Amino acid sequence: MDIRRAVGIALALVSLIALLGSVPHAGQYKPALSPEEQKSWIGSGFTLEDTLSWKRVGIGPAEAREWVMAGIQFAEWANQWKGEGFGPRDAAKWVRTANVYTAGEFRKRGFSPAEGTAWIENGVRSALRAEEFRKIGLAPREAGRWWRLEFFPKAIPPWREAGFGPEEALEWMYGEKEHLNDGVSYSRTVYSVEWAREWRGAGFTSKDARWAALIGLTLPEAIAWKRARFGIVEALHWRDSGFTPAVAARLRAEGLSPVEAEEQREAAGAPPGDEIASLHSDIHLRQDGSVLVTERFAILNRPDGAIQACFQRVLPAKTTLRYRRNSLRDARPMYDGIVAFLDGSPAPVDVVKDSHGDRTLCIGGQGSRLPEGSHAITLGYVTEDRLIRLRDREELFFDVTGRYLKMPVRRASATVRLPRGADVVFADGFAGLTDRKDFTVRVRTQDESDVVDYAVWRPLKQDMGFQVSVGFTKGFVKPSLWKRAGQFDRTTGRLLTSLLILVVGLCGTISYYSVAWHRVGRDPKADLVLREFEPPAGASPALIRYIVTRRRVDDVSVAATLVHLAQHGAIRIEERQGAYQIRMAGPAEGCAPLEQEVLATVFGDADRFVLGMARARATLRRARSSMMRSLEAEYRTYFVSNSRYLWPGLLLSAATMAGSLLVLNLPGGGKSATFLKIFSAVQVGVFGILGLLFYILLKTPTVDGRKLLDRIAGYRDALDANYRKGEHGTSDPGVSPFLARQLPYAMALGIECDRLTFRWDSTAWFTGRSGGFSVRDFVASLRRRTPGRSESP
Amino acid sequence: MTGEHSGMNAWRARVLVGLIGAGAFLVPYGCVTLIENARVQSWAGYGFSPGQTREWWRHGIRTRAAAVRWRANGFQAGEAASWETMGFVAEEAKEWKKGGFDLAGAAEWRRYAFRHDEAGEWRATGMSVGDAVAWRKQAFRPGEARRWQDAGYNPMDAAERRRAGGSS
Repeated sequence: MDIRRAVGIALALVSLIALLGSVPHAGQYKPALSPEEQKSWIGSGFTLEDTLSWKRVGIGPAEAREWVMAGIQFAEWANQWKGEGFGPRDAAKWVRTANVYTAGEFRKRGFSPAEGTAWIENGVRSALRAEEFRKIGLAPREAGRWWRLEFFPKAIPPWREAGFGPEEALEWMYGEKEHLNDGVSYSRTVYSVEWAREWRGAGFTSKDARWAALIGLTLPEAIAWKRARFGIVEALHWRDSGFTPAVAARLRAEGLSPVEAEEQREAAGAPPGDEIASLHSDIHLRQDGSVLVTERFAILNRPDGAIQACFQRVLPAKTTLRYRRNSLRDARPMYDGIVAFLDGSPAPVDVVKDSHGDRTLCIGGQGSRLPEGSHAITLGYVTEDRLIRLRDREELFFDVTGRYLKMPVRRASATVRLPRGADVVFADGFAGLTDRKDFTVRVRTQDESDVVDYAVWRPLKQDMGFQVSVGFTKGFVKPSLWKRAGQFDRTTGRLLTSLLILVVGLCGTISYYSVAWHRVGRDPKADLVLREFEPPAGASPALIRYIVTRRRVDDVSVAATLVHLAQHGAIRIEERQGAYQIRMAGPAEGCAPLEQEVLATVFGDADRFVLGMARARATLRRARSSMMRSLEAEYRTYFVSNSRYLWPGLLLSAATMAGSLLVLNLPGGGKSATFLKIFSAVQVGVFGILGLLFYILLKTPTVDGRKLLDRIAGYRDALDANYRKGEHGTSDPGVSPFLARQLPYAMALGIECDRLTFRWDSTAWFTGRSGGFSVRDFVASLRRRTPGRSESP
Repeated sequence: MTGEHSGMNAWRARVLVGLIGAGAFLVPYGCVTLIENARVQSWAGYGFSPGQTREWWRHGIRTRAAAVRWRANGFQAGEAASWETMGFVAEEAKEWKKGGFDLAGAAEWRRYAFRHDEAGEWRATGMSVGDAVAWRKQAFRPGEARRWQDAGYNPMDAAERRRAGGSS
């Protein structure tokens, strides 16, 4: 840049900056003050600095004084109040309880300062909310009570009309909080006001009513039990034992508990069948997350009972884990190391797996029969996937009775042992009918480990269950990566196994193909390619084209064959006004059998063949098919496909796909079906592409084939160079006998020869246009239909 | 081509090497600066000044959403980073803080699976974390545990007595 120009620009920039700097910013505006004004402000008790700020917002000394007296001491603040439409007197009434905007909102919605203050002081700080409360007829104080308990105005009227105060409404309206995994949010059941009114009207507490709702006790039933002087919990026990309120009242008067009364009734009833006198399950959670279970059964096998053969125990393939009271997770536990003892001696265990994957253990072996009488059976196994990992704790859930216990259990108990160091957070569970908790629990510490003892205090009938749920502190169960992978595999329906089979199968298939290719698929090494000026001996133009175009037979193949036949004097090619016809001219001496076959197909019994007719096209199609067959046979002497080596690879691929898909055990449903479709399609695609790739790679030339390829390469090179020279040369190319003789091979090799003109004097086999034989036109004539030509020659 | 040597002269080569060296530094530096400025701009849209943005980054909170969340719950960058390091999410940290727990206290109580509200209740009874763990193990609520403790019971004995129908 020119130095003078640079200096000019710099000076201009400096001037601009100076100009910008001289413009005062909005906040820096300093109004001028006359001596009189100064006197007036100072007389009103303002300092010079204050004066400037008040003057800047356009407030005079008298008004400023009023704002200050109203408690609004700063010009900007006063300006805000003024902007919301307040005068100093109005503002003074609001300023102690609300900010300018809240006050503005209250005033806009028709609240006087006293009213607004009352609402705000009772905790309703939003004018909109206060208006809503006012609309439903609540005074600030009462509204404040509801609002503090987080009742919105819309929810209040039904509860209020039903006679509930805020605290009572809150108690009846919501169930217990169930905290979610984020440690903050929670959910809770919301009960209707009608339900609350009915139960409260019948004299029940909210706790009783909720408990009744949980176990399905209707209000009339509850009233009946209440009239018989039973509390809800007690009524529930008697009801679960199968007694009506009247009978229960009588039995209770006799001093019986529900369980005693139930046992007495059963003793007096039908002869008992088989039963489990006691069941104790020792559940030992280990540090690696596996659970060692030892179940001890005391069996009473009576005549004609449920046990007709061996004692059976079902280990389910799928179980549901309950956590955080109402949440569920499906688990697919594995079972390992199953051992059993019958009356103190080791007993054989036969395992039968059903279509759902459930394992039925036959203790004593299939075909054995458990003798009648009392027996002690101990069953031990290791299982996994029984834990629920939450953010702040872990929970173990175990179904002690499991499914399919075909006989009642008189006494059930369980002991849960936690890993060393883990502290129990809660010990909960279910025993009895659905959602009942008919058990007692005790937590003790043994060898620095927390142990939880459960004892079910009622006999369990066949429709009753017993599950334990223990929460404990995190960090004491650390499953290995292998175990976690196994667990993930089971939970995802064996997806990992499927992928593993796929990967192993894919690697195996690739390895097989690679070995096969290495042994038989590699091409023999190319020899030195020398330029050759004659085609390989015995190779027709069609064969050469078949090889260089990777087994294609097209119009060029037919055209080259016809030109070759013409050169050998077998036919003449005639052209008139763009239409070609071929005449028989003599025997096809020196031509390949393939070419003679073409000749026979094209001419049949006729002596001429007119191109451009529909019939001609059909004839040429037949000729191409016949050429294809002959060429394929000839091709096989030069190239081998090695397809027999492809089959084992394809079989391996099919086996891999089948194994990978059959091992999957996905849950039913649309998503699984879609996944399965995509997964199958991907596999077919991958193995298909692999097969195709190796099909191509396994094909290889024989030694003769290799030599032929080398000679074709040398010949092509020579032809290409000569044709190019002929094209660029100044002499008439038509006179070169070499180029004219090699024409069918040049056509077959795809060498550009359209720009050359083969005049009739250098091509005795052609008569026609003055410009001579055109390759492009002749090839095109094979596929075009000449307009106006009749079908008959 | 003539037979004459047509190579680059030494000075030109040095300049070229120098330019490549400078480019090797400036291009990545420029790209990173541009990306960083774009990110600063996007944070500015959420009310973070460039200085504040860099402050959050310096404390390891590099996503805007996380910063917005922590800020919305009343945390500054440094404090937020400490709570986050201990595995707290913003909303939970706010609750603990509101309950009067500092980070160490909150982490200690939470390690033993106490929620902020539960921890507050136990602490209000004057019990330590260890005491609270022992009493909770026996299914005692804080107030109830306090009464039994005041009556001279340890958790195991209190639980036995309660099972037998006794009261504190």
